[in-house]
Amino acid sequence: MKSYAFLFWGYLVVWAGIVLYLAFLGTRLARAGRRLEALERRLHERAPSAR
Amino acid sequence: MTRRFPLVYGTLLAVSALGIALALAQIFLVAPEERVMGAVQKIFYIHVPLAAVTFLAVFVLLVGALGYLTTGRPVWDRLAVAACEVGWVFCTLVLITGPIWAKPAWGVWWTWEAKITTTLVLWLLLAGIVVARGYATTPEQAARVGAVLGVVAALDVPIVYKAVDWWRGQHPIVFGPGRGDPLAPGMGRALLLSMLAVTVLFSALVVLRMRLAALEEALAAAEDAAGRSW
Amino acid sequence: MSFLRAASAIAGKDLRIEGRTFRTAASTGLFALVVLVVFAFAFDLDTVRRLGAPRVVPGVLWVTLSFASIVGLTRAFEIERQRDALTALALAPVDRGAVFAGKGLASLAVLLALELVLVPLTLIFFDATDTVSLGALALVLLLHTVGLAELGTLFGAVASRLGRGEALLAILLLPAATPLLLSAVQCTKGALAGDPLSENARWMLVTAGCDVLYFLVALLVFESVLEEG
Repeated sequence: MKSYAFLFWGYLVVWAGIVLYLAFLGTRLARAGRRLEALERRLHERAPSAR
Repeated sequence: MTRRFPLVYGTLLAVSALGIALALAQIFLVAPEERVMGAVQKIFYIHVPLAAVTFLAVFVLLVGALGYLTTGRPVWDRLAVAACEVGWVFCTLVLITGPIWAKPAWGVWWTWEAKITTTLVLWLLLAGIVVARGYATTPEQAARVGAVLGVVAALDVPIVYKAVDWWRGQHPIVFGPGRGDPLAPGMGRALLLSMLAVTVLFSALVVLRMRLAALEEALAAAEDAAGRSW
Repeated sequence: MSFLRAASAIAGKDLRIEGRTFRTAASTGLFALVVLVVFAFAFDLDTVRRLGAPRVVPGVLWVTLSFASIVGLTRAFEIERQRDALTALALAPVDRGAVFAGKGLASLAVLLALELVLVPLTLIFFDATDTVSLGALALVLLLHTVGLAELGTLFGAVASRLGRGEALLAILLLPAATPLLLSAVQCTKGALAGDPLSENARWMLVTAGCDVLYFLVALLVFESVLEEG
């Protein structure tokens, strides 16, 4: 029975690690995307004729 | 690139999810239990691919770093930072699953065997690069620092391995990893499937991380432009 | 300006600045001494005698030297940080590699001077003077200190460019110096035990090769390190 505990924790750690990293990337991506959109909107408001 | 991206990323993620499901099925439903260690040996099917991909990441880091140092184009730095960070995450997982396998298999959580020690040193090297990049004041400085440190780290890894290997030769290991046992056929296929799945997962994460790097670059440029237009 | 002339000019400048105040040597030396004493508390003489000095002392010596070199190297680049002299050096019409060689040479000199005092003290503190082969020890120290100075100068420049000090340098330098330190401890053990150098010839040759490799790699990448941030 003890060996199943190790097996469980091993796979759990890997799964948790990947999910955590994906969540980290996801939040950073969402935040960067939002800030970029906000900035681009402001830039177009100030100078609609700018390229 | 920005419009094709969701398709590329979505496909990679879907393929890796599928690959992982297939690999897990093979690992737990088909592959036979190892005679001596029992079920816990199955950690080997995730630990070995993670380790292999970690060292693949080092190679990709070297390519990206050299590419940036020679051409100065940001895409190489994006590749380097992605390989460095994702590689570090996978390296952490290797260092955690390793002891989880080692304890039931050999009775100890840790030994200073060459592969294990090299992985630890690699973890420190990659962590150092991430920390150093964080201290940079401009994206260009971060890229340059990351590239220089990346080249040195990648070139150092084989030297570290050889050095620790010789050092261990003078202190033979009484317990721990020795020559591998031959694999039963079901096991070989499980390992291969797992290796493929983890590699695709790694690629998906690298592409995603590169996307983040590109976005942050665009953000910095836009902030620059906004600052200038006041 | 030729490579050698530039390198020696830079090394000379650094050593002259150092010669005026001995600030770097003093802080590095005192720090090394403090670490050595802490080790004496960590491993008492009885334990060392029972285990045999050649097995304990090399580790103590090289940990002390690594830590002390980090302090010294950070000081060496702090000289440049004042008034952004590093940028001035970068702008000078001098081969970047020569800047690396010059600063590396100056750091090497300081480290060797430190060892001249530290090593005899270590041998005395840990009662390791009986079987030591001084010639072999000197060669081992020289070979490995060159490598340490090279890696230290490269990472020291990076840390300095990032505006950081000892902590970052330690994080960067020590893992990368793993092969060097492993070799250093092995070879020092042999020298302390009085073994002929041929016993550790493999380590010595590989370290010599690494010294050359580190120098070449540093020459290639130092340009990027010095670039305006």
